[in-house]
Amino acid sequence: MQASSVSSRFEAYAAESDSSVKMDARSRMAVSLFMSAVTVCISSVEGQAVLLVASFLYVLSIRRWKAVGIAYAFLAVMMCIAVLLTYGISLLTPIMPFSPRGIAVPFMRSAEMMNVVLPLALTCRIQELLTALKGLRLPFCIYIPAAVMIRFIPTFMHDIRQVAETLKIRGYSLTFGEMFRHPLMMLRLMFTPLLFRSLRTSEELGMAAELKGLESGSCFVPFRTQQWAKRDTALVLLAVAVAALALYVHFKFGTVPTRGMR
Amino acid sequence: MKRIFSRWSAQDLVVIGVFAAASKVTTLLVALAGGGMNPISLMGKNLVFTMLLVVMLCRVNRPGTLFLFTVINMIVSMLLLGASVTLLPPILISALAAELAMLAMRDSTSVGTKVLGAAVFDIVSKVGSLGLSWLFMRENPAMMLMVVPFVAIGYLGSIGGLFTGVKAVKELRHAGIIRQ
Amino acid sequence: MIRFENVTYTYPFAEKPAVRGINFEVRPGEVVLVTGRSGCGKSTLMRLANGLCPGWFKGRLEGRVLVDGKSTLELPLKDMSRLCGTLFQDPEQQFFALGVEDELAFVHEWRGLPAEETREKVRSFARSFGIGHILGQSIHELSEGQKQKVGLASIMSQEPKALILDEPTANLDPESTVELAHRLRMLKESGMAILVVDHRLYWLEGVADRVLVMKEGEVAAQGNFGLLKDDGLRASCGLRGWHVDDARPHLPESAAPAAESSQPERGFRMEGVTFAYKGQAPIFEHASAFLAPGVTALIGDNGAGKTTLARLMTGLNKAQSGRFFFDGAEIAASDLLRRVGVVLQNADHQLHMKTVAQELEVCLELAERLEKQAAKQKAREGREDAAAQQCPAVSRPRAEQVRELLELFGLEGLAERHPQSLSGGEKQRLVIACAFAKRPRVLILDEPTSGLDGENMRRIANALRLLAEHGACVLIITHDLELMKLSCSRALRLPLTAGKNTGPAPHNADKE
Repeated sequence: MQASSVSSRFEAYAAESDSSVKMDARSRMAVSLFMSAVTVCISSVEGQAVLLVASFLYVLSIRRWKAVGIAYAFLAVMMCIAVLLTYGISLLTPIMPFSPRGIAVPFMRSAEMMNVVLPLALTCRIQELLTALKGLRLPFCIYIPAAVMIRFIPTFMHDIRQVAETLKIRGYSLTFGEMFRHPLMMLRLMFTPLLFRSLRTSEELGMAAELKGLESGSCFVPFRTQQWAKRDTALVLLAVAVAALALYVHFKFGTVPTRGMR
Repeated sequence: MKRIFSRWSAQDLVVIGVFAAASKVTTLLVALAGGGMNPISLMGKNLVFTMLLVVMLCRVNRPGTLFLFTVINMIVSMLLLGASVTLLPPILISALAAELAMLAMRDSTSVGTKVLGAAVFDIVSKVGSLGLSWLFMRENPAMMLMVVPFVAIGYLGSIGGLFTGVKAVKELRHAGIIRQ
Repeated sequence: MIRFENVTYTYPFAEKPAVRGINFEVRPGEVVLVTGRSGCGKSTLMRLANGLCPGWFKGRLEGRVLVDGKSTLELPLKDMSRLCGTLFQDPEQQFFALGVEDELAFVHEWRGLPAEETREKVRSFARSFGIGHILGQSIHELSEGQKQKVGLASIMSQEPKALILDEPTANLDPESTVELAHRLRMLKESGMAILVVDHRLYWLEGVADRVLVMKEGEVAAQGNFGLLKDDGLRASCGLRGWHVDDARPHLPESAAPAAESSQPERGFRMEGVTFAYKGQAPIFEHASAFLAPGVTALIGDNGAGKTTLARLMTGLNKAQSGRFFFDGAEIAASDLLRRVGVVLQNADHQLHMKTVAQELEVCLELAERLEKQAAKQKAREGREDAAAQQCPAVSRPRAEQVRELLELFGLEGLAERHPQSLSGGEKQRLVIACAFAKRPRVLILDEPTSGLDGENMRRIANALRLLAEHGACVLIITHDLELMKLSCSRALRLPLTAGKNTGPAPHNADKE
């Protein structure tokens, strides 16, 4: 079953060791947030180029060549399809002419967003995510469900793999063709156990929460937190500097693609 | 503010967390198993997400549930799965709109109200994601023509999810797991 | 410490009380065992003691439940949890964190303990429970025994005065069970009041001071451990044995017939199997094993590869090399899944339909489809199916077969119930019934009786014997010594070595 390989891939990906410099999740989140705002504002190829180069160096700094390579390969495929389709559309509708610069900017934006979210996703290991959340000082009503969500993602992955195996044992054919022919039946077979399991788990864990004395308004003191280091401040400042440079280039040298808008 | 935060019971929060995990895992697996862009998996993942949303709303009968669920989902998706922060505003607006729609109903605890909430969330979030796509692709409007069919196919899945959600709630009642 | 005074409790939406007229006490330094048939009200008793009934489940409580002199109705659950700790049957279900250290610290963090104090508590309780070496591990990597220790350490670090254990041995191996009994003895000596709810009884001999036997919501008998020696009482209340001998050392090895035997080989054989998980050392290297018709126990230490072996035999894991034979005829590894039935541990994952009867009908339909596929394949190859002759395809109406399976597993009255609404024991029986529907030549069961009462454990043992009498090879992975004693006639012991458990090359080793 494909889902099982997907699941194991996900787990392996989540468990891979992080060989990059350890940064606080908060600084990476700030960079991601900041970049998303700046990239939407800039619509010139020149301004976007500054952001793309800087963000590309940032994603390379995590040294996860394979993951970054796969992500870029996927983006390249998407870009090829988009180029072909928009070219086709331009032939059919003259009011939407084909412009290489016009297609470049959206993909530069996508690449930049990918460059800033990948470091966050690839360096934040699932087991360390709770520590990262503690560092965010979230209120009880956000921390508890977020912690529960993180706690149960691997469990549910495992559950789905087991459900798929059970179906194979019973004699169901779990091929792609079968899923195409009977999508609703397949969804029922795969996800009914998970739905019931979710409800049962939430019941048991809810009881456990009560028995552990958890309640809103509790005073939370983390016994271990990630420390905001000088390198985190440096990263955020660097992001601000890059954004300022990109905006300067955009307004000074930027050429907005035809039909585009600032 | 503190009052809003403090009225949640641990039990409700746990249900929201478990369903957030279940919806994340299932949509991720359906999308990856089907290759992401194929219409069946696109519909399938929206269907499962909406179904789980309806069941969760029936299980946690409290205003703000959908909004909290959305916030949790976005935080963890961002940290773990690399979801883009740009998705945050349209998704939060959709959740707020859905909460307001549910509050406006006379019987806020009925399954119909929950289905309405999920429907409003789905439609507003789809419109929001189209708006976001426009922001990202405004330099080349032809690309928007490529995005619209995918969003529309996903929305068909969401509509299917509303019906399967109601069916799932009925089944859960038959099994004695949800009682209202 | 825990005191029930004429307690009657009714769940919301229920017509009659779950428990009636309960009076008993657990004093400090005392261990009280509550047992009885599934659905007799044991779990409700436990929930009343820790305040979940009516604090969580709501419902109507008559009489009083006192913990440390305070009524559970007056104390919020948060305060109750400081007085009385509860360990669930599956401790993993009460973990909030992914790592062992984080789980131990979790409660103290939310109680606002200074970080240094939390760290000290984690360190000291990890030391006293012998889990210091696994503090950095994920909860998913732990054995059942380790999970239980983590759960217990987390509870004890809150320093409660009473402890409630819900079926603590259901998932434990015999060695961990002995260790738990030893730990309970120590806690008892320290003055802790302990209430244990369990189906397995033998491990509490010499530990439990008193025993409560429940029947249909009432206390049927109360006394010291000797009370359980009454065969009549055990039979009428569906209890397990009070004393269980460890059959493991005495079970004969599962070996293939001798080379000079003139009889054709009957059974399932694997030869020269090598398997390793990606990036790890091989678990099996040129290993061989033989299963004769009958019930065989798979015995091995934790991590010896019991589940992996079962997965290889079913084709769920693909061996890097090796051959498989049914009755001496080779079968491709890709065909194993069609011929081998497996019952995995978690029954919840194996139930998909809307009613119990539908679940069985679908299994029968799929089994028939598999048989037809196999027959077609044989016809194409121009061969007769010897196996099909031994287990002929049943042409009786499906409804009749469903009824027979329901009867065999004592599920007659539940045919129209939703499978997910059944109790744990009922679900367990249903998934085994589903596996029987496949009429497998080989059936592998992973812990089929964990959490089952004596009556249902014996019912499953009988069903397995019946299947074996029809020529099937049944392999059980179990920690349940009683099931092993009742049903297993031989053992397959791990680690397997090259050439072990196997005779000469099969007589009729044609490619199937």
